[in-house]
Amino acid sequence: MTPDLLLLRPEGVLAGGLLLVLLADLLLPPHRRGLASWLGVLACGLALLPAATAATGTIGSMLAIDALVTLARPAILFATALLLLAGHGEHGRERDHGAFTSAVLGLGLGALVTAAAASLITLLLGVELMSLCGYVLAAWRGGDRRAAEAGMKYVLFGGVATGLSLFGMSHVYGLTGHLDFAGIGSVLATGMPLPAVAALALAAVGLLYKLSIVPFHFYAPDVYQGAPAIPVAAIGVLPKLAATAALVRLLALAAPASLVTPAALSFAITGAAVASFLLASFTALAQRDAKRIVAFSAIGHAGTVLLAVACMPGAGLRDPGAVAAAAFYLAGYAVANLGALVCLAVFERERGASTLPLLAGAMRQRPWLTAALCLFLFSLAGLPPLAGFAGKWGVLRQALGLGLSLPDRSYLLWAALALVASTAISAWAYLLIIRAAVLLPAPAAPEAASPRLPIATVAVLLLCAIATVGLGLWFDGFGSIARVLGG
Amino acid sequence: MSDTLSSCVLVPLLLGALALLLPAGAGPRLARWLALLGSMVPLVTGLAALVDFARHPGADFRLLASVPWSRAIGAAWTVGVDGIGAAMLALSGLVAAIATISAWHETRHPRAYHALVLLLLAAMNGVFVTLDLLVFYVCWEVMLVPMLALIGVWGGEQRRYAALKFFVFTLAGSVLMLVLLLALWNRTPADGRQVKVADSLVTSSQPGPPTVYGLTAVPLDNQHKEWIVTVPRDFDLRHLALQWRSWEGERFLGISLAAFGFLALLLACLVKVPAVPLHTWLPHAHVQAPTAVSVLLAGILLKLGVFGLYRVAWPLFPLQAVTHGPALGVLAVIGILWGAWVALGQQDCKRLVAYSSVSHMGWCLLGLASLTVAGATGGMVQAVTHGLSSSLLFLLVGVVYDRAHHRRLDGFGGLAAPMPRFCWILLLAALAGAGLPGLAGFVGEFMALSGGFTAGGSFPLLAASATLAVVISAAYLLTMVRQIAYGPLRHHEQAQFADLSPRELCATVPLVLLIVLLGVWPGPLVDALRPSCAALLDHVRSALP
Amino acid sequence: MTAGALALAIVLLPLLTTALLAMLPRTRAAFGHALGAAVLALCTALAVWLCIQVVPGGAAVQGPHATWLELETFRLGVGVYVDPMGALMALIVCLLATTVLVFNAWYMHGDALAGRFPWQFCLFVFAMLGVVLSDNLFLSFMCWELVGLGSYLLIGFWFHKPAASDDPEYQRLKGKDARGVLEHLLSPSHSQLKAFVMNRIGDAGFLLGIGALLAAGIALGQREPLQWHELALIAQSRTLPGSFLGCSGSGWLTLAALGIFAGAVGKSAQFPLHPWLPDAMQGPTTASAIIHAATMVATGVFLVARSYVLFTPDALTVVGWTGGITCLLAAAIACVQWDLKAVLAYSTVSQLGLMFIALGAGRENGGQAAGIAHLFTHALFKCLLFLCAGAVIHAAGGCQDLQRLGGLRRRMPLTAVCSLLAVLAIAGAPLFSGFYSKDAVLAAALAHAQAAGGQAFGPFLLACAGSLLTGLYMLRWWLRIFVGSERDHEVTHHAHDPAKAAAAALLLLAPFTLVLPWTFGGWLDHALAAPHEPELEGAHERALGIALALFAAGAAFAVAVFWLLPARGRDAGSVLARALRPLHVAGSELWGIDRLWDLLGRRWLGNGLAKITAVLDLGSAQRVAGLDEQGAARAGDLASLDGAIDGLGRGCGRLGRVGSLAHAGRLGVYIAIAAVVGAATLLLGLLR
Repeated sequence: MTPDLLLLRPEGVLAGGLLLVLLADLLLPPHRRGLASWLGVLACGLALLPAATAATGTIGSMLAIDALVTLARPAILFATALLLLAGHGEHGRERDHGAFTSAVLGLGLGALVTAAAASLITLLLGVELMSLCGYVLAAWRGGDRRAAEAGMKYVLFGGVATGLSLFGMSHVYGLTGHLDFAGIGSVLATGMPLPAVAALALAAVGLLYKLSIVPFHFYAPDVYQGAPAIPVAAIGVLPKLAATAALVRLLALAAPASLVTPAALSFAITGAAVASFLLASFTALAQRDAKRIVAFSAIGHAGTVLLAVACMPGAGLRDPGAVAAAAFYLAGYAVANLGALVCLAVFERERGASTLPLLAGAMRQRPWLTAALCLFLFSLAGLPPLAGFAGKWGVLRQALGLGLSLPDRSYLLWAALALVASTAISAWAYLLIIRAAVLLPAPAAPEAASPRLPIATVAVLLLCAIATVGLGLWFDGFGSIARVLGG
Repeated sequence: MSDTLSSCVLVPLLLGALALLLPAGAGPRLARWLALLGSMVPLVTGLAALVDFARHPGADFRLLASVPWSRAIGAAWTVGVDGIGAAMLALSGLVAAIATISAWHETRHPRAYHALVLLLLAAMNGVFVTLDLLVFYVCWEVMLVPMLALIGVWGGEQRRYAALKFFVFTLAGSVLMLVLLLALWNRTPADGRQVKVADSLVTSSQPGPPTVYGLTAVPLDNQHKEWIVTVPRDFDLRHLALQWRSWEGERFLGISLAAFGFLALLLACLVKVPAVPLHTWLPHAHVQAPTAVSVLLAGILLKLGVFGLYRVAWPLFPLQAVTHGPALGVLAVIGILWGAWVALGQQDCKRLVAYSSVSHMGWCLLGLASLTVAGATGGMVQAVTHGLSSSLLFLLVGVVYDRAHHRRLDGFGGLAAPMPRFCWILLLAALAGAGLPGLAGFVGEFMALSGGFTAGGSFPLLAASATLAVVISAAYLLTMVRQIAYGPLRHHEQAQFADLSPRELCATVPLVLLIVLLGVWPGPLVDALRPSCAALLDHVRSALP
Repeated sequence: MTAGALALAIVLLPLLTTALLAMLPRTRAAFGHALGAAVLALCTALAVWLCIQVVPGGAAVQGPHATWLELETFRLGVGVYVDPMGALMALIVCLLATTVLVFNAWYMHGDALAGRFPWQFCLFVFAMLGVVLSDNLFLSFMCWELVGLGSYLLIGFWFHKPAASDDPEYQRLKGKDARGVLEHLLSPSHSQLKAFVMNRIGDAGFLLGIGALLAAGIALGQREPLQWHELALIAQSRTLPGSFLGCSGSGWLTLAALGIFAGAVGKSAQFPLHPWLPDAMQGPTTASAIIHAATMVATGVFLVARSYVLFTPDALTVVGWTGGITCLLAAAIACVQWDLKAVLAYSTVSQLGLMFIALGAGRENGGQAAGIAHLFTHALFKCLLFLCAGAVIHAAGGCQDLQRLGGLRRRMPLTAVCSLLAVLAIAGAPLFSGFYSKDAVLAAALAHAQAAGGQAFGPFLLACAGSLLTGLYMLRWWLRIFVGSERDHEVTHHAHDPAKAAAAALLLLAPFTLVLPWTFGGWLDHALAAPHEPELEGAHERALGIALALFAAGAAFAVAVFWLLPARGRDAGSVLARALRPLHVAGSELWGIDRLWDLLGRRWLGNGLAKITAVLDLGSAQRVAGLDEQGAARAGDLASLDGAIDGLGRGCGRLGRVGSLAHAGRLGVYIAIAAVVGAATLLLGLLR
């Protein structure tokens, strides 16, 4: 049978858009290059149309266009579009803006591929594509030492992670003779030596790295602090979406119960999750740079997502509740995080950096922007009735539900307690930013009337704010998502 | 939404948004009128409901209305008030109005200030009117945000410290409530749970089958003594209260789910009350907050803790309430005495008043814990009257601070000569706080005490030791009055202090009148509160084997 | 008009007047006094009418009654209840109030604050009548507290006065060897505070008593346990089901009775809660006349008599002994005081002690009747005494010191005569009202002592000692003021009798010091339901003799020491003082009780313990003051609640800093940690 390539229209459109952007960057005169980002946005929009039509199927054993993808694609494309808009608003007038646009598009493409990956090859492909664009973005803003250092760290650390996962993949292949998840799963199901587990775990390292899960999170603080805010948003949001999807599929297909008991597997994942959000919430308290705090919050939120994923094994995709919770949480996190970083990007542009002391008097200078920042931060802190709260609600609901019903999962109850505890602590960390931006008095004389924000930035902020509040009130969302996943 | 109770939440919310959007020119002056208008809605609604309850006493919820929020999880915007809710609603409106008047000339960002006050008011009213645990939690948390800003931006020297402390302290107190919500939800079967209901709850509505809170009830036996009701999986407090037996059965983290839930709610509420030793955010918040915000804090916010106990903790976990009663009584008495002693040791008069709140709110807890009608009703009366008297005290402290720019008790003296009106009102407020008969403060205290004395068990002893506070409170409050008002004029620049201005009179006189009125004629208020409290106690006692 | 309605009117009229007068501008003092006096006179007339209706019958009348609070398990009501005792008390209160207000119009003429006096005074009168005529213990308690408020307001009437120690006026006028105790705390503003708080100590006990009675009433299934007649039922049911604070049966009653008595100890300034009363003399003498001498301080006595049924023998023993100790102690102090108001104050305390001795003797021995009778007679002549004292102080330009006054009888004969009558009455001279009631008291105490024997003789002997000293110090007081040479011309040279209305007030009260017909006819005994057992007659004869002897001895001694001998140039007073130096010093040091209270109450508890608690709660003052943004505190502050909680917060921060050490940007470190942790978890996963 010939693979139905029509299933790949979104990826195709995005790839086309990427090429167009590169061309435009070459041909257009410098002052017109802002157009490139509009092209990108257009591409995302066009890609969304086919993505919305939920046709499922597989491309050989390489890509699986399943319910998960029909969920992940729109999210990724929306995020990409928002990122492009934000980038246009903040850096639209810069010479190398085209590079930025294409990098973000590439990142989006990689995310799409990763999200749909059904075999180790495509997984590696997608992850690497994301990594490459990620390197560009992290180090983007040439000449800036901190940015360069950030890029370097991202590259090296990412290299190690990729190496590890490649190493693991090769072992998996050696042990099973399969590269596609389903095949691996079927072989492992017949019972295989323990090393296979190790191999699989190693293969998953790449994803954990993208998710910045402890202990593969170290790059995050430095990169977030060093790189400009919008690229940080890109690096922070898109890979997380994709990696979560891939991880879910990997767990669903390639880790059969016979190999490792669901309880044990979920215990391991829970451990990583708890470690992530506890470490993040505590360490964030000691940070004095807004973006660094956001970085640790990213680690913490990734941990929370992982906790939702930990509620999956055993039930797999047959019980989509856990995945739905993870998806909802990611959506809420994505908009809030993106919004917060866009706000910080503005302040960074105007004040040189995003260290807490430099944020003093922000409320005086840009009341509405600061108010938006507070909104996003409160959402990240999980304050009702915002998206962050609804997401946390979903995750806790899964953890408690499983922990209360299955005696061998009772550790999930403690994980849930740890989660709420870390919520309270991390709230304090976000308060540090709010305190700096709102409560600290303006340095000396307040600056002259600050210029109006670019329309694109305003648009992104509005969209994010609406989404943050809307998702927060949309408790039926879990059900709807679960229905989509249930197919 | 057309129903009045929702308007108590929505109108302030919308007016707040409006206040933010006002133009820079006339905005500041308009904003305060909006705030006043916004506070009138709950005031009028609450008073009307209160009068209705006083006229036709009953434990039922009135002004009911419901709009589904999320059918999937069974959350809904369900509103309704019983006597307690009505009283709290009226109080919140009144105190908010007073606070707005006292901050009439706020010069720093007036639009934002009044908008935040309106947001705070909306959130608090949400807690008072909702019958849905999830909405309750949401409003409970939302409240923190405006408070954070009001203290942190408009406060005094150490405002940031106080604001952050308040926020983190109270947030940490209530996170367990979220776990509880989900645990309850998870342990309720998706297709509802069948529970036995006593005959007393069943209302036979003709035409149609007999119902309990709108749920169809099926007779269990032909004498119609007991009924079966299928309670859906939702967050309606009345529905959750029906299922208390099943919470007792469940296990959660090694203790019964009920025990966990009760402790979680207790933690959340006792932080707000505040009960010793969870009170240490209060002195900072009060001292640092501007006068009007202190008034809101003491006048309404502290009451939320008590209200939470009445509305959620006790109904949901009656058996726990019974078993933990004595322990809570001890906690209450510790709070009463500790707060009073600490207040006696204060030199800053605002902090003194803050600690007097700690002491006075202990009476509410004592009354409720005693599980007697007199005590429980008294606890609620005390909540209302303390709202009045402590608001008045904070206003007056603010008055001297405006003139002297300090709050040290030893920095005053003999103000009765230049400011006679002020000193008379100060004396009245102090005496009301000290529980002088004929003033509001006495009613709640005495009812709580009599509840303790008549409760049996260890409560007479607790009440007896609590009477000591009667002496101490008189000591610290009248010492404060003496050091501010009486004796020779110690600082001669203070001879020029102006007596209360018309605006300050507008803020204080209504409170004075109410304090005297409630002190002389508390009957209607008590009649409005008693049936609800009695019903609550019946529910709690029904838990006893 | 029915008795109930009358009583209600009597109570409410002063309240209305209070409201009216409070509205009056401060400058209309004269009008205020006139209006107030008129209303009070009306009340007096009504009270007379009330007495005519109630007293002869001797039966109690339940007036209008309403529910104040309905609390399902029980109910609190407000209502009016009149019995002969109450009616007579109301009459006396109204009569004295009228005279005092009339007198005050003259006394405070020209005082800037005079306008405040009438309404505060009427407020007090209302509360006082409320206590007297209320129909249940709860309402009595409420009015009881309001009486305390009136006292508080009137003590602090001249709120601006500094403490005596730094009041030049006071220092100028006080005599050379008059030694004040704790003068730095002797100011209206402090005395009013002291009075209120010390009363509150007693009231805490009162509340406990009320609680005990409520519990008892509910145990007996009563709806309104605190009504007087319900209390009687509680008292009769000797077996109360269950127990209260570990006391059951009559122990329960005793507890309740002692609770109420604690309140009385506070209000009636009995040992050990008496020090507030002498300090209360900081208020205007006219206010002291009725509040801190005649009626308010007697409220305790009245209330004990009112709830007498509750007083078990054990409780009565406590009452009797407390009264006895107070009686002698206060008399001993009064003997050596130089401030003329202080002498009167301590004599009041002593006389109140006498009343409690009587009450302690028990109803069957005529204790209740005797106590109340003495309360009535004492109220009348003590009020007169204070008004005379006021006249003297007014005349002497504020000087109150017995060492500087003297020989005033020529300049103010009327005052001299009136006060002499009152002095003889209080000293218990025959044919004076005091003699009549004091005899009754001694008789009751003696009868009780004979009946009970043993320790019961204690209160009786103390009463005798107290009465002996009474004659002594009161005559000393009168002789030093009115007789002998003018010791200090500059304070007394322009002295003169009070003006018309005020003089009339004195003259109005003077006759009541004599044994008026009504004290004979025995109808007061009848009204107060005094028992007439034959065996009591014996006690009466003996008591008559004893009372006579005591008066004679005390008076003769006083006349000798303070009049005859000095007239012959021998300063017997100082000789005596030197002879009895220890007693003299102890007395003028007030037996150290005030200092002890100051140390325990104000310094240790009020300051010391409270400050310590504050530190335990909030950390040191420096911490609170020097708090920086992050709430940094010294290590020591961790011992405080707040400090500990902040410490918890900072602990989290520290953890964070430790965590961020690992994130210092060293790539090698990162990869190493990642590798190690990853491998470790992997191995753990494999091994389990």
